[in-house]
Amino acid sequence: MKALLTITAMLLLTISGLAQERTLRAIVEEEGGPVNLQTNANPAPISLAELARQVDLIVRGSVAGTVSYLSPSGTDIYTDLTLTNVQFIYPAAAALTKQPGPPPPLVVTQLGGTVSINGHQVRSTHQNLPPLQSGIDALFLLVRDTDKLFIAARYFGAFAIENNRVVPLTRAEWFAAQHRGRSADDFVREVVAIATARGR
Amino acid sequence: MKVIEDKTLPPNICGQGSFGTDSSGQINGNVVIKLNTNWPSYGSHLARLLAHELGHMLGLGNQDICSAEESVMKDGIPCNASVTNIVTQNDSVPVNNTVYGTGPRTSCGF
Repeated sequence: MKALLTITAMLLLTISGLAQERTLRAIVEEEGGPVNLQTNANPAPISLAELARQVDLIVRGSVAGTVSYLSPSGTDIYTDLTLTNVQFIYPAAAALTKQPGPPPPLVVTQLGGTVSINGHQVRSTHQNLPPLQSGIDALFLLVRDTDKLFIAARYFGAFAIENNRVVPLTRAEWFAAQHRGRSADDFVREVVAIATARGR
Repeated sequence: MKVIEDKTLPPNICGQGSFGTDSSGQINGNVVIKLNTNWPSYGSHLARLLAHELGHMLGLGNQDICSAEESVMKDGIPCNASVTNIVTQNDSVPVNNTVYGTGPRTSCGF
């Protein structure tokens, strides 16, 4: 415990000299592989209402496939989740714009994943949200950033739907605790009402 | 260990710690703590945030039983929260999969 306090104090003294981060490619080139990078984010509390107020798109769909690649900064890995059987829920215009035939797949981006660099496996794991696997049926609250759709608030906008009940996929147990196991229909109605009120 | 201000961290993420591990799970370098650009306004929470991330690197999981004042590993704390205690006795044993007692702890304190 004393050691932890001492190291913390040392960090506080040196924090003014903020450093640059090495890219994953540089780590592989300098140290070889495999590389396993584990990230623990420290989120501020966020309510479901606060989350719903920041979303650009709400969809329900099944993860049909995943593709991982280096993030634009090269310091992390992104994974694109291809959703099928997509049901557009919010905004209403997206829900009403129906083309004939099955809906096209939608791509959602999650932080973390596994890639190969110079033949070495490089894996990035974000502890706050487990990697979403193919086959999972989920509700996604999404935000746009440049040309991508990310899970809202990074780790909080993904909810598994099991037997028409909602289960937040984030590992933060304090998040939306009162909504765990709630009827998916009721949950969606509430989230859409909040998002719609924000959009007025 | 590097401490970096990361402009891409969203407002709800106060900071984050990353570290590289070998195949056995031991930390082998590449330790980086990233802070939200709002970090100068964190006040007393800044020390707690750094200690929290260091706690992860020592193998401690997030703490959902104790309050923020009772454990540095309690997560979900406002970025500019005023905190008196940083590291406490509750942070001296792993809280998730502890080998002490009969498994994960279900109450705070000693």
